[in-house]
Amino acid sequence: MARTVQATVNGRKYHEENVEPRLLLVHFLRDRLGLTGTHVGCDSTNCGACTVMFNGKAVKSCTVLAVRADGAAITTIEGVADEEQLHPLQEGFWEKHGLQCGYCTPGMIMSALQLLERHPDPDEETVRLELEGNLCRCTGYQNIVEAVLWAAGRLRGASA
Amino acid sequence: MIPRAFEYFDPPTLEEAVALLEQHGEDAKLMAGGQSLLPMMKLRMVSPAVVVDLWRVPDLDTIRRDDVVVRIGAMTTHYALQSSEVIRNTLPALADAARVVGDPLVRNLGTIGGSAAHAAHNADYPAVLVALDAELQAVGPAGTRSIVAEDFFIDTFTTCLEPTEIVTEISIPVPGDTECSAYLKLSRRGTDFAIVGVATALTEGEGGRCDDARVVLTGVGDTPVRATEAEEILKAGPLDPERLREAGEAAKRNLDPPSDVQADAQYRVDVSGVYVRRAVAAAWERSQSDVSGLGN
Amino acid sequence: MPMIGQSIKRREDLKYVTGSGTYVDDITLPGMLYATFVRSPHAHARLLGVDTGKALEHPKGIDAITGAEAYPLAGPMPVYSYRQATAIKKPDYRCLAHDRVRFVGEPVALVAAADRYAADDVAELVEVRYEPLEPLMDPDESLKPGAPKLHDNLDNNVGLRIERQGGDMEAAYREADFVFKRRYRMHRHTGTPIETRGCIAQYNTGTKELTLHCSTQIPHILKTHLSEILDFPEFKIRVIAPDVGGGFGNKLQVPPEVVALCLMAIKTRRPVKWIETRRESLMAFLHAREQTHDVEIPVKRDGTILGIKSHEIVNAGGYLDARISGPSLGAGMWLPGPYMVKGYQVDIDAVMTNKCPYGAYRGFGSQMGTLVIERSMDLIARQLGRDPVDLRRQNVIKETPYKTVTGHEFDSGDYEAGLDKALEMVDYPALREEQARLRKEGRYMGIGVAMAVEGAGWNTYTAAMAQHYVPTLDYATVTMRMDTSGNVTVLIGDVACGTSHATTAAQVAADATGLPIDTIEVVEGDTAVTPYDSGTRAARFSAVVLPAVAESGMALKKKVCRVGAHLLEGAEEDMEIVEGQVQVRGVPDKSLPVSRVARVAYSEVATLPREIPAGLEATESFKAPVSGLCITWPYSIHIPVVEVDIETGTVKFLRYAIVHDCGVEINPMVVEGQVVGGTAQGVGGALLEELVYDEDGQLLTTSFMDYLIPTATDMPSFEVCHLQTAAPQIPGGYKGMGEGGCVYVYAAVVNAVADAIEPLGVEITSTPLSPSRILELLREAGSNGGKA
Repeated sequence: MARTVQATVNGRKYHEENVEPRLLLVHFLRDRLGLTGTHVGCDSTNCGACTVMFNGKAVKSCTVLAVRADGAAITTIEGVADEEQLHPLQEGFWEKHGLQCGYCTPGMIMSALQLLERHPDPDEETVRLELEGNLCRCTGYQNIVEAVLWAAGRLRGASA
Repeated sequence: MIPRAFEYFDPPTLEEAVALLEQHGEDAKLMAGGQSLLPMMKLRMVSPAVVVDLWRVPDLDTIRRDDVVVRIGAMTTHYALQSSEVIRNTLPALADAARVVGDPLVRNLGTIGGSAAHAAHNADYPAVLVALDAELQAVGPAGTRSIVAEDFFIDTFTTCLEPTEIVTEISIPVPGDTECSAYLKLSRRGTDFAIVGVATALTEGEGGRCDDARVVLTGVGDTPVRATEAEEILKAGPLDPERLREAGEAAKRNLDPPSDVQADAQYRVDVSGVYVRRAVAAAWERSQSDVSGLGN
Repeated sequence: MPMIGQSIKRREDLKYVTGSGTYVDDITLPGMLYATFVRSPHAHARLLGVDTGKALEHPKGIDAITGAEAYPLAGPMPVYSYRQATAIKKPDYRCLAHDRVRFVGEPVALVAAADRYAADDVAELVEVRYEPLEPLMDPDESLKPGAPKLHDNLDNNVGLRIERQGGDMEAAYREADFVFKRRYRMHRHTGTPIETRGCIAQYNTGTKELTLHCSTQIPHILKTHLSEILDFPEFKIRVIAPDVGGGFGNKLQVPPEVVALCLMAIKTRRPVKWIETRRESLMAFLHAREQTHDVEIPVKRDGTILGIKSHEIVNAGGYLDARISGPSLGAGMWLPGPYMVKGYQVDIDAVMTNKCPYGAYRGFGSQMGTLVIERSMDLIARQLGRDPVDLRRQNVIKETPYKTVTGHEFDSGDYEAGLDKALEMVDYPALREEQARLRKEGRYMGIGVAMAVEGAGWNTYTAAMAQHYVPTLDYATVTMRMDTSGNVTVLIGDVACGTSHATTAAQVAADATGLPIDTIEVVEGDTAVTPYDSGTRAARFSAVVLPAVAESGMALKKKVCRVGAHLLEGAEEDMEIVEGQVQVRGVPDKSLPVSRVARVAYSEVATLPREIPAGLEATESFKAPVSGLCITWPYSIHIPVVEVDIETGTVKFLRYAIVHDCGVEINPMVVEGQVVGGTAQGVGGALLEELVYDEDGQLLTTSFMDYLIPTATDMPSFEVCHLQTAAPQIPGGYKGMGEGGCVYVYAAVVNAVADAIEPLGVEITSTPLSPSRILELLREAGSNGGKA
């Protein structure tokens, strides 16, 4: 009983037919749309490597059925930069060495996007709390926190 | 991992959802936010033949308050609850619970109705709903009924709902000016299920006394466990540190908690006492400082 | 401006922050199938039959391979063994079980299907019949006389025995006033890179070539082993490691699953992809760390530590992983710590049980040796009524180089100065006062001190049992190629797995050649284009590979200068390269762009004298001097400060100070990232993570819901102080430091927690320090904080 899913991903419209109901959003993005920047790191909705913005909310795309994306607006890591201009979060992760192997990074950045929407001037504790759903095995999180605080400063500066 | 194949329906109305549940009976599973059900399906611990997804049903995610009751739509997300002024001001224990369910990403999709109906023995809401004397509204083929929270939870992953019933709303009485509440959770990491969680609702009386007390624990039984003996102790005299300690000790008696890889039963018993004491103290402090704006 | 020493931004990051990295699962090949393994639900069982009939009836089921089918096609998995190991016949470890299964999750069969989802469905249709057998989960049980043998060809359940000693242990006992004895235990946990294992195997029937895209730390070594196991010509195998989402030593494994996947690719003649699930990964990827040590330390009343002796038991699991001897020996060799002891002795038994095989994980055993000695230092200090820092100061090695009883030469550094620096960071005397004050309030703060000298570039396997190929880690070969426009590609047989090679190698190459770093690109991980290399492991990249980069860079520079000298009509030895220009030294007017030189070297070859060869390419090797097991000797001192809630057993970090010395730092930002990351990983190991089996051999922690790797809120902020004592034996002075803080952190954290609750009569000698365990210890000591 496959379905058709029409969704807007990173500003582009997609029309995908024959979507099996059990297809997970993360595999829809990766295998059907070729957006492989969104990763899978666990089976149990813990690691957050698959985080995307789904109708304005950061969610774990491994725990959303792709059929629910019908009519949705989705942003993945591939859609975060504005053309060639990196988002301050992307710059921040780069500037502050907020990544090592890079596998958790896209999910981490998507979560941080939401964090900064909700808390434009966060303290360290807030950053750590809001990133609790994203696991990183390389960095010990220290430079990720630095990266987000750096980006927050940039964004506040830009809007001031 | 990948769920086994299933038949999928996402009806636009509750009536149609109920009809689908009637049609498919035990084969069907209801999906709200999917944050508990989908992981279990992916691990193939649960493999329903039919999934009835409620995401298209409108108006199930509102929070409304009048003078006597707060009505919360079953599809209200944890994030909506934790960030709601109404909830924070009126039902602080519920806001406490909402902000410690899972992680921020899960809270964006997971719902209070879904969590309640999932009825994990170590979930955060069940204890809070019992402590706050909530009622759950359910719709089924025979119409709507209201179930007191204390009667709702039957066993781990089991509620008193019929397979054809859907929780639509949770209603919680607006506390009076002298009432206060808190929920405190102990877990290994911030994102984990409760080893022990304690929800408490207190009514402040004259002379530093507590006129009424509800103390409900999660994680220590198959359902939320009400610490009635502790409640009696709390009501018996001024709420001083010694009384809090006694209440904590009382809460530990007759507990028969499970052991698992995160903590053994004895640990759960020990920290139950501590967390009852701390949760009551936290609620009491709230009522004293008055910052929670109780009853406003 | 030299690039070495600069904290430049990483050159690999743009792809990662934009989602353009390419990990194995991001690769799709035409006609590709998906594989899923059928795995044993039993810890120990006789395999009676595997029926793939129903699976192949599934409309998307393409093919299946069972253990019986694989047995004649693929030989045993490799085991390396240290030369002093007692030669023991090895367990017959095959890619798919064929007679018995020996741990939950052991692969039994493999199916290939048309898509990812169908593969899981098809695998469920494979019918396997088992006759369950009694599992052995505890080495003590396995060692009991009359215990059932897990492997028929072994004499008993000891898979590997190593006996090592050095110095004069008899003298140590003779001079001792007392012998300190304890049993220490470290629990089972592992690295869990966020990217699980994964591989695409592909066989070309025309060229008879086997090509793998594989998430591995050892592309070349994997190729060599696959050649042995499959009896397949090595030069017809190509392994490509694309971006690797974390390794931590776990991905040094030669995965049995990859061997089976190769068989499937050969059989189906189609590319086959396998991406491990987290559940599989926790069950059947390597486990690590689980060891016990029965320790004796002869001590003088004045506090002199005279020696250390241990009987070490390693829970090796159902089979011996190739690297079983590494972490086993690592623990034993690290027992004397950074102290001046007279002798040491360790007897190691790696014991077969029905758990997942035991293998490499960051720290490679040294964290256990460090835990043993550093915990003992605290306990001995307590027994003598001394401050633990004071006792360390008395015994720590005062001068380097220092010849250790373990047969190493600690090359450089001032360990006592490092300790002083760390004490100064936390203001140790003030902390002790604060601790005393808090105790009066009923609050339990603890200060943990741990120090060690860590080895980089391990060479554990010299002269091993000859049955399998054995990699050696003490040399590296690097090729540097300038293209026709003057840009340079550095070809390295390693693979970065978060380890910043594309940045640090470019920094070294830039300084060696004199070329702008923007004109240098690093290529790794593809065996078809890179020189042979033993892989990313043992913190050897800086100590061994980067000197080879420098050598190769200097050789290339020489070639460029030679052509330049001809074109500028100068002497070759007068040439230099400055900012992309070849010039006569000190005469910028007489210069040419490197791009011009390159053009001539490639396309105007006829204009060059006969003795100048065409093209611009250099390949050089660096052979590092080996001292005992290792090449260089970084060291570190960790001081965490914690508070223990004695009512709940939870541990909160108040501070975490680290002093470390990894020699000359190529990129301090990257160094600090490794130090902090490695420490964080060990904090998780000490406090949160545990692979728990029940009595029946079922693994109870099969997801990240149960196996608790730390989140951002579980981590403190780490304060890091860098010392830089150049490694005397290594050109450039680098020491390597990829083990990060993982060597020290266990001892430091355990000591801190122990220090906090020591007044309550608790002694800690085992990990993990879960809240439940801490409360249990308090309860046993009669100091139950759980009283409400």
